[in-house]
Amino acid sequence: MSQSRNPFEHHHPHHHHDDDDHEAHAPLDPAQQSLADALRVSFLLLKVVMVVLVIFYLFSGVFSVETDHKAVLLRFGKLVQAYDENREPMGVRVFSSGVHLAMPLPIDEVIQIPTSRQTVTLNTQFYYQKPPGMEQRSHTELAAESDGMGGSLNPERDGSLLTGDANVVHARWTVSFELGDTAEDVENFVRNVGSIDRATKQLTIAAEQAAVHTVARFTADQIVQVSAAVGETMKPLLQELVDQRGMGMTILEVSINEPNFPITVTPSYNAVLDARSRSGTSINNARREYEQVMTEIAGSAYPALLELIDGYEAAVELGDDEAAADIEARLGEALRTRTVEHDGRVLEVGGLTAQYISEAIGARTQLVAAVEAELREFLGLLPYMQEDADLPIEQRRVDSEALPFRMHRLWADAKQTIFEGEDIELGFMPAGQVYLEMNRDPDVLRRREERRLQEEQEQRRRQRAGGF
Amino acid sequence: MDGAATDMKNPLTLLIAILIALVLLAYMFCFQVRYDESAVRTTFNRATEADVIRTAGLGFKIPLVHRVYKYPRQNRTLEMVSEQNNTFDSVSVIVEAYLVWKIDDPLKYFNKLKNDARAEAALSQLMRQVPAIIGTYRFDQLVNTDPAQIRLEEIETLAGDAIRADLANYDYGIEVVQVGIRRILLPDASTKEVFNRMKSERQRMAQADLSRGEAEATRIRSEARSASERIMSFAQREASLIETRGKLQAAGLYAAYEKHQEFAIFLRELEALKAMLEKNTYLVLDANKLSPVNLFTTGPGALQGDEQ
Repeated sequence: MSQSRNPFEHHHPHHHHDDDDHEAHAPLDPAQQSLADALRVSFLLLKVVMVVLVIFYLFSGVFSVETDHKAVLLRFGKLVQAYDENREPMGVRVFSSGVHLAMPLPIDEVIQIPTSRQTVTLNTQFYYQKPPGMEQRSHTELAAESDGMGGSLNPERDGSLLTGDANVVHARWTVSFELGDTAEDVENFVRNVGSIDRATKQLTIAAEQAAVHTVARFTADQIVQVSAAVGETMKPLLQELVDQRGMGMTILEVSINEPNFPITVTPSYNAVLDARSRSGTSINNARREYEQVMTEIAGSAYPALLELIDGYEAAVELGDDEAAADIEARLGEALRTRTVEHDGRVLEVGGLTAQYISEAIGARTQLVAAVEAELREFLGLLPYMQEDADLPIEQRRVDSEALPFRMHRLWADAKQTIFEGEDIELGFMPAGQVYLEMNRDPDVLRRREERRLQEEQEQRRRQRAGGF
Repeated sequence: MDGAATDMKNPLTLLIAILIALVLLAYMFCFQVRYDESAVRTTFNRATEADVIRTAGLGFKIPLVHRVYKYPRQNRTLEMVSEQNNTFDSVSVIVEAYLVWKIDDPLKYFNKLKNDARAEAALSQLMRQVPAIIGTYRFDQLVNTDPAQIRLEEIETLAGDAIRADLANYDYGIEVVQVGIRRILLPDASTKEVFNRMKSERQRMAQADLSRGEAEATRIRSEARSASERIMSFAQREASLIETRGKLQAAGLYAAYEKHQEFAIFLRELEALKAMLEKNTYLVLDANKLSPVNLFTTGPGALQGDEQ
C-alpha cells in the first residue's frame, strides 16, 4: 500500500543502514511470499464470509405467518404495540398471514399462535383402567363377561364421576377450542398462557373441574342416555373458567364420549333398557290392537265419533239437554250419512258401524219396497177380484171350487211353489195307517245343517266385533 | 504481514470487528426481560426493590457481580395429592383439588423461596385446608340433582380465601388466583356399596317398567273395548231407528188395504203359507187323495187337517 506524501516534506530516496528498513524493503523469499499470499487470500475469503453472514443475519428477521396462525412480535422481550393515526397505542400488534419484516434475534422474537381448532381429551381421568391384556376389549364386552370383575374401583388407578343421585359413572371427554378472534384475545392468550402446550395443560385441568361440577347435577341415567345435554351444560361452565383466567380462548364444543355405568352394574342397566324396550313393545302392540279394533268398528272416523260421544255424555252428565240433543243429532247424521267432519276434514265411517247402518237402511228399503210391491200387486189384482164380490166369503174359503177363478188360480200357484221347494219332503200315508216310518232326505238335512252353521258363524262374528 | 496490517486498516473490516466486539459485550453486559417475565438482579446474591425489573426490555449487568433471576408472570397450576376425608355427614370421599397461582412480588419470592420447587412445596402444605373445608359440608352438598343444593363453588371460594389468608402470613410474593376441585372419588369399599345399591335400584326399575308397560297395555285394550262398545251402542240405536222408520213407512202403506181387507188377508195368508213351508217341512199326504184336484181341496183353511 503506498503511503501518502506530504508535499511540503522533502522526499528523496535515502539509503539507511537501519536493519528494519532493510528488511521491510527487501524482497521476500518464495516461501514467505507464498505464506503472505495465502494469508491474503484467507483474509479475503474471511471478509467475504463475514459480509455474507452479516447480510444473512440482518435479513434473518424476515418471517412468514401461515394462514392458520397469528403472530406477535417481541422487541427486546417487549410486546410490539400497534398505534393508530394519532400514535395512540391500540394494544398488541397482531400479524396475520403473509411475509413480514422484523429485526433479527435477539432484538426481535416472533411468537406464532395457531388459530385452527384444537382439542383436548380427558381419556383417563374419569375412566377405569382395563385389566391387563384386555385393553382392546370394549366396555360392552367386559361388562358381558364381568363375572365379578370391576366389583369396586381403586381410586389410585380408576377414575370416575359422582353423579347427582350419588351414583358412579365413567366417561371420556373431548373439548374443542380455538384462539379468540379479537386482538385483545390474542394479547390475553400471549400474556396469560403463552403457547398451545400450556393452553392444553391449563385447559385440561379446567375441563376436569367443569366436568365434576356438571356431572354433580345430573343423574347417572341422564349422563349415560342424554349425554348431548351434559356436554351443552358443561360448555358455558368451562368458558367461564377460561374467561376468568384471561386465556383468550373460545370453547367451541364439549362432548362426552363413552359414558358408561361401572362394569359390574352395566348388566343391570342393560336389564332396565331391555325392560323398557319390552314395555314399549307391549304398549305399541296394545296401541296397534286398539287401532285395528277401532278401525274394524268405525273405520278412520272413529276419533271423530268418539269425540262426539264424549261431548254427548258430558252434556248428559251436566244436565245440558239442549247440547246433548244437538250432539245426538249430529251423531245420528254422521252415522246415517257415514261421513263426519273432523279438524276440517271429512272422514268416512266404516267398519261394523257402517255395516250395521247399511244393513238397517237396506232392511228398511227392502221392507218398504216389499210392501210397495205387495201393494202394487194387490191393487193390480183388485179390479178382477171385485167382479166376484157377490160370492159369500165363507164359500170362498171352504170350497175351493167355489173360489172365484182368479183366487183359485192364485191358490193353485201357491201350492205349486210349496211342493217345488228344495227343503220339502213328501210322504204318503195309506188309508187306515196310524203310524209312519220316515226316512229323512240326506240332501235336505245337509242343506239345513249348512244353513245353521252359517247362521252360527255370522252370529259369532257379530258378537266378537261388538263385544271386544 | 503487510496484507494483514492493510486489511486491518480497511474500514469494512474494522466495522465488522467492532460489531462483533459489541455483540460480545452486549451478551456479557446485557440481559433481556420478556413480556411474560419479571427479573431480579442481585448484587453478590443480594437484591433490593430497585433491583426488580417488572417491565419488558433490556437490562444491564456487570458480569461476576450481578446475577439475574427471571420468574414467569403467567398463571401456573399446582395439583393436590389425593386425600381421603369425611364429609360432615360422615361419607368418605377422596377430593383432588388444584390451585392456580402466580408470582406477584418477585423480590419476596426470591428472598423467601428462590425457586418453583420450594414454592410448590409451600403451596402443597397450604392446600391441606381443602379437605378440612370439605369436612364442613354434607355429601348432598357436593352432588345433588337439585343444582341449587350444590355448594362446590362455595367450597372452592372458601378454600381459596383460606389459602390466601394463610399465605399472607408467609409473605412469599405469591398470589393464589383460583382454587378448584378436579375430581371427587369414592374409596374402594364405598364403591362396592354404591354398586350394590345401583344394581338393586336398576332391578327395581326394570320390574317397574315392565309392570308399567303391562298396565298401560291393559288400559289401552280396555279403552278399545269400551270405545268400541260405545260406538256400537250408538250404531245399533241408529240402526234400530232406521228400521223403525221403515216400518212406520210400511205401515202407512198398509192403509190402502183397509177397504179390501178380506182379499188382502187372503193374499197375505198365501204368502205366509209359502214362507212357512219353504224350509224344514215334511208333508204327509193322504194316499187316497193323490189327485191334483183333490190336493188341499178345502183351500188354505183346510191345510190344518192335511199338514204334518
